[in-house]
Amino acid sequence: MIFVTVGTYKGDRLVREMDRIAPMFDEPMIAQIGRGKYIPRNCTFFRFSPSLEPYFREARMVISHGGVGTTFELINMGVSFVAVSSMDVHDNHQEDLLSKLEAINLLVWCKEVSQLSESIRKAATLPTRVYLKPRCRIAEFVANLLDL
Amino acid sequence: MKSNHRRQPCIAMVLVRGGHTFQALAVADHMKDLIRPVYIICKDNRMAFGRLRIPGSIVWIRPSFQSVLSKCVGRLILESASFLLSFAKTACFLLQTRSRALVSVGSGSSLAPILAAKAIRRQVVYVESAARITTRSLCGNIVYRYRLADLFLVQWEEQVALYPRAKYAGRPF
Repeated sequence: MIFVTVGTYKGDRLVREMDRIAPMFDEPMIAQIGRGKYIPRNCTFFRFSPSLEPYFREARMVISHGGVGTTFELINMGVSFVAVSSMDVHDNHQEDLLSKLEAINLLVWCKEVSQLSESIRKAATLPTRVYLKPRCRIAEFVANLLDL
Repeated sequence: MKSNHRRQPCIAMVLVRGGHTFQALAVADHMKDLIRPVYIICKDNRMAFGRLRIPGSIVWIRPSFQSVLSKCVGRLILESASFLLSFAKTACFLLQTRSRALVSVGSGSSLAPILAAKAIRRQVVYVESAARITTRSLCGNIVYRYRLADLFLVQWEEQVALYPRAKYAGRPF
């Protein structure tokens, strides 16, 4: 199964393109379309869910918006995915994160929705790479600040 | 760092729509042995309620200045009213819950809570969003420039070059 998620972004362009290429894939496709106006015809869809984790676990491949939350959730779960940068976000800051993570082979970054089918094929052949979390010292700094 | 449940201080986490909520909840989870979190949640982020892993008191605030300042005067007046309301609600909530600090991972809507915390002399911890690596966020820029945070943390080592006074703290995810 291929799962598409746009989160809370306006992802009509992504959903429309996925709907267009869905018949090219020999497997079911499910889309989370948020507040989008475009209603897909070639795949099952829903708007929101309290948790997308069950869909992430079941999917062979996830096509995601480039938001930081979903991106790190998928990386931590070790799911193959394509991150599509959204041009709607303020100052295109997603590109900063996605280019960094693509450079270390943690995802495939799709810069334009027209390149989506090519990106999906690329992600399917991407070798699995384990993400090593950096040491987090936030609690330590807060403890020092509050003298705990 | 000691962990004593009876002495765990209340810390208010600001939950704003999008990846900011994911990051703030990850920070709360990371500090769960140290603090008791309470939550300041934006009304356009109701789904955050279902994602709270650690229970705590909640106050709902109105979203304000989510993106670049509006050029439309009507919208600006509306946003300013939301800002003042969120400021007042946050100040009352911090006093009620006896929160010692406020933690924000950014976005415009967290500016009102940050200023409210400063006004009533609570500590402010600002964590720059992990979505930023080589550029400053608008909210991070304001908080850093006007020294609104008592502790300014960054999640990527590269961000230290953008914010020389900040401390690199890694990421909880």
